[in-house]
Amino acid sequence: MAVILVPSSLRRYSDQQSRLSLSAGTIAEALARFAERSKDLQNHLFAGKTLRNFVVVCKNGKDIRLLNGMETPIGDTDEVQIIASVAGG
Amino acid sequence: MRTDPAPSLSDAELRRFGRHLVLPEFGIEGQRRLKAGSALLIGLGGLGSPAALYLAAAGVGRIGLVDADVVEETNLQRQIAHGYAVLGKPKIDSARTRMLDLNPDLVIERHRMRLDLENAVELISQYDVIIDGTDNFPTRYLVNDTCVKLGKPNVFGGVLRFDGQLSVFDARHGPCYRCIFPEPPPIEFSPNCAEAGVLGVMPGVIGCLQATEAIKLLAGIGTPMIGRMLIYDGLDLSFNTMRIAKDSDCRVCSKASEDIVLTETVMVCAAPVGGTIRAEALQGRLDAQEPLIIVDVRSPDEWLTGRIPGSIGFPKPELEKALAQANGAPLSGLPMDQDIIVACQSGMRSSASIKFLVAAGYDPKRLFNLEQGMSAWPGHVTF
Repeated sequence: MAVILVPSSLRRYSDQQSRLSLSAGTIAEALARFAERSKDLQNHLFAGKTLRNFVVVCKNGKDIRLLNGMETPIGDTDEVQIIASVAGG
Repeated sequence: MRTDPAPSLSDAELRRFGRHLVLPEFGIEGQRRLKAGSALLIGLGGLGSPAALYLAAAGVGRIGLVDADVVEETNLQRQIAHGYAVLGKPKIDSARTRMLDLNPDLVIERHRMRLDLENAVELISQYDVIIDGTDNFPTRYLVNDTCVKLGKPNVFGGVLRFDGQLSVFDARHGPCYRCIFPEPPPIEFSPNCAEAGVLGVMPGVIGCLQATEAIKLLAGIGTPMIGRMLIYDGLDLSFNTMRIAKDSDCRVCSKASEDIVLTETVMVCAAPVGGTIRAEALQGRLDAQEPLIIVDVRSPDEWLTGRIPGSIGFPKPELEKALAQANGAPLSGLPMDQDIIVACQSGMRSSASIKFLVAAGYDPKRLFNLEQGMSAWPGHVTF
């Protein structure tokens, strides 16, 4: 199963887990499955069906915009990292 | 980028920087380049404090400090350039004293102001490297846009809770901040450190890494973090480096410099629900003994810093859970036919809570968000 790396700001939706394993064939499927955990999370990640533009997603350390976007395929050994913009300093 | 080497180092400098000089990659040329170089530190808080001290100690020749704030007690959990002895003093003065103690040859230029549309170009144009140690989205976007316009490298750092991020945005060679995050999140998705908290050492780690990148840029050594972003997870103690992409349609860095118009970034709510009330107006309604209910959705630990008299403590996660289980019925102690004031630390969690209340059947006309939360309540401890 692929692994989603969850930033601490979103861990209230992952039972405080930093890594969540789930079955998915694409980035879109993985994020949809993750977002199923909460309406609030769904709203945080997506505006309708579009990934919000303050959320970046990487597959194995590469921005999916450099790959095939939300349709980027993922397999069992892949890591999907969610990066939310933070302004604290 | 490499600055031209300064003509020479004094005997004192040769002694002080001896550990640099023996580094073959750095050596006397790197040290002279640092001395000839300049950096602008925007923000002297959690990120700017360690960055300022290390840049001073490393031997950067000229450093500009931009900050309008004075030192407060709540800063000291993470802002290590300051201390109890300087409470109430401007941060730029406090930092300057510490920096000169580390490097008396340093030239420090103090700018006691907030970066804004009027001064951004003038300030940023005077320095080789810009270090973004700010604590809010509007200033971060202004730093980015000005750096793109002027062709300056922007050493970016951001922290929240146990997360840290670092990158070098240099639109001449890679993406800018807006390529990665075109717009700030709506207010309800963008808590600051006062609202969401931050482990004090997190900005220490990221601020030191910002100093490292600035030194590398000025000395012309190593590979800068251009086109990459470091994600630091303090709870897992993991560092992941992500390759990030330049956006060919970026609304800022895809334009020619002269076509970039600096604008103010306004933070908005995705969809505000319910009304708002200011602290003074709420006090007036309390003084008039109007029937109303005040719900404090902060965590019990935060209640220790003070509560509005008569308020009901109902932490946001518990409130949301109770509403979900109530199936549209009013919660005990929260009737649907009275005005309800919802408060948190800064107004963000309370805004989100109001949405849940409305979704659960409460009348939005009877719900009011306390503007700026408890941070605006007289006598309350602010962070």
